Amino acid sequence: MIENILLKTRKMTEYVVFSMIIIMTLIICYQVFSRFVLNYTPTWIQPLSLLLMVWIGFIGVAIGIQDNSHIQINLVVSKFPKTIQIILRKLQRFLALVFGLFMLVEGIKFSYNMKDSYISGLSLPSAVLYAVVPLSGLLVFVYLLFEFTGKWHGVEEEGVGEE
Amino acid sequence: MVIVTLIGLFFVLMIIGVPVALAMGITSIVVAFQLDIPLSMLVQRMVAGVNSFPLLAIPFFILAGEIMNTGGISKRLVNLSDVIVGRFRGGLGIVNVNTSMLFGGISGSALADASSIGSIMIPMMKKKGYDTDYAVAVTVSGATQGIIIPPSHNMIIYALAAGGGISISSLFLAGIVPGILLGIALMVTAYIIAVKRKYPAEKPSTFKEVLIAMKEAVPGLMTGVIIIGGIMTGIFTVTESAAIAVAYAFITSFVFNREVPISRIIPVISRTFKTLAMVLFLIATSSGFAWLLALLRVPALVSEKLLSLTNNPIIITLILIVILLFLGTILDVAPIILITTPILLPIAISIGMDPVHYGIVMMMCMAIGLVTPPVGGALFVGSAIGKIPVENVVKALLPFYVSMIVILLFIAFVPQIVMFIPNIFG
Repeated sequence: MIENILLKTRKMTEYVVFSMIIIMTLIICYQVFSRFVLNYTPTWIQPLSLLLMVWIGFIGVAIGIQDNSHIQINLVVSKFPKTIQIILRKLQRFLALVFGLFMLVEGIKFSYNMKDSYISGLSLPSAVLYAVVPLSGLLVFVYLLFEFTGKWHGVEEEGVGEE
Repeated sequence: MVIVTLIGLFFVLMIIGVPVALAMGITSIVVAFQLDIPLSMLVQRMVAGVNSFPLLAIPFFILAGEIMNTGGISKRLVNLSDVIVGRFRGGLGIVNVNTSMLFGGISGSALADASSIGSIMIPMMKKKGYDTDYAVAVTVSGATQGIIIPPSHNMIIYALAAGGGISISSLFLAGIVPGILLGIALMVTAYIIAVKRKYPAEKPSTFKEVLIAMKEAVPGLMTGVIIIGGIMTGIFTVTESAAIAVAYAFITSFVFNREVPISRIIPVISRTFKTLAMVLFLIATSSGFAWLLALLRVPALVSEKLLSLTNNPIIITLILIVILLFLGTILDVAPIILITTPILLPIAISIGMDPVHYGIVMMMCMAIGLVTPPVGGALFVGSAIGKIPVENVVKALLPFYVSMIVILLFIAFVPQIVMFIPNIFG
């Protein structure tokens, strides 16, 4: 049941991010079109695409931690005995959990502090920009918590075939 | 004392297998605690690291590369290289390096290069009787050209780390000649080894075959032309040209060529997202880390120490190169650029190096770092595709290391090679 909800949320998160990537590409292309054809450069495009990239990046941080797919050095660890490898892996995942908690708590504080300032070029509060940090923290924290209790085992890599 | 915690903790975490970006994040949190800095400052620094206009081009470069790759462009580039340089002994080795040179001009990422060209070339070379260690060594050393031949997203990161005073287009232009020199050096090395090991040559192609291969490859190569041309003429900004390249690549691959169904765009975006997430996470936490280093006055300390040792520009250049090569073996490219640039660039400037020249020297060091263990992204990708232990590849790579270092020293001490093209357009 919980695994199902986690899986659905995860899929949804991915599709939201994919759409953000597509939107980002489209609006920058529109900017070029607008400048050459309409002789006018909309000012909201750059700040909006930047906002999207920060969101994509930080949600990516969370998904990368969920999948443990960020770049790591395994050359030394793989030389250790099996039991130590398992302990180190647990420790590594625990540190990721702590980092998630840090993003969640400090991210909320910082976004709150930023509620009165605005992103230049967009009439949005800066808190919208920073809000992705606690969101990413939440995604890390919840998924790792369920990983530790054995309720979450990650997503199956589906046939994303390379030629 | 705090400096020791900062650097010591970071290395310990990294060695026990904590992802590099996370290791930097955790270390920064601990150090911020020690220094009594509010942790929310760290959040602000991390977001500020990513929240920067020049970086906007990076997702588009990655996406354009992925689309071209899925749309069959890598295959066409292999084909084009084959009809031109395949006739020499060890032909496929040279074809491999040459394809990377062309592909580097499109994707700008050495890892994308190693995986896409490696997955075509390594099995092909094995079938024709080449040894696996040679096939992988040629592939991964060739792939490093992606970091030097424009567009290169690492150059964007460098321009950012240098404080925004360096134009990305100058860096891109400066990479052209060194990238080609590196390619030639690698091809010569590949040829010499091929002669020694008696590898076969491909049959020479007719003029007609060359023309056909060219015609097939042109739409793909146009992507590179759009990016470089758009930037050089100043019609587009770097970000705009990258986004236009994505649109162009999408239309040629999915609307005109139609070799693959449009549904394949989902895995393309998914892979782009994964690569982008890794790069941006590294940028975010390195920014926090570099900020703490600056707060602890590490840049000033290092440069005082180094400049009190000697003020001979040649020795200092060599020391800078050794530091970058050493870090290149143990760290990933983005963190090295973001962490060392504030520390080492002022030293390079103080001995009269142009920041653009220093940037290219640094990229060349990073290229070598990509194929040296224990941390060498391209090396790992290649070994995985060839299904061969990293150790064996490293042995086969030795002559390639030599030629890369020769080119590195050459461009470090003859700045004209690097500055020639940017000076024309500058």
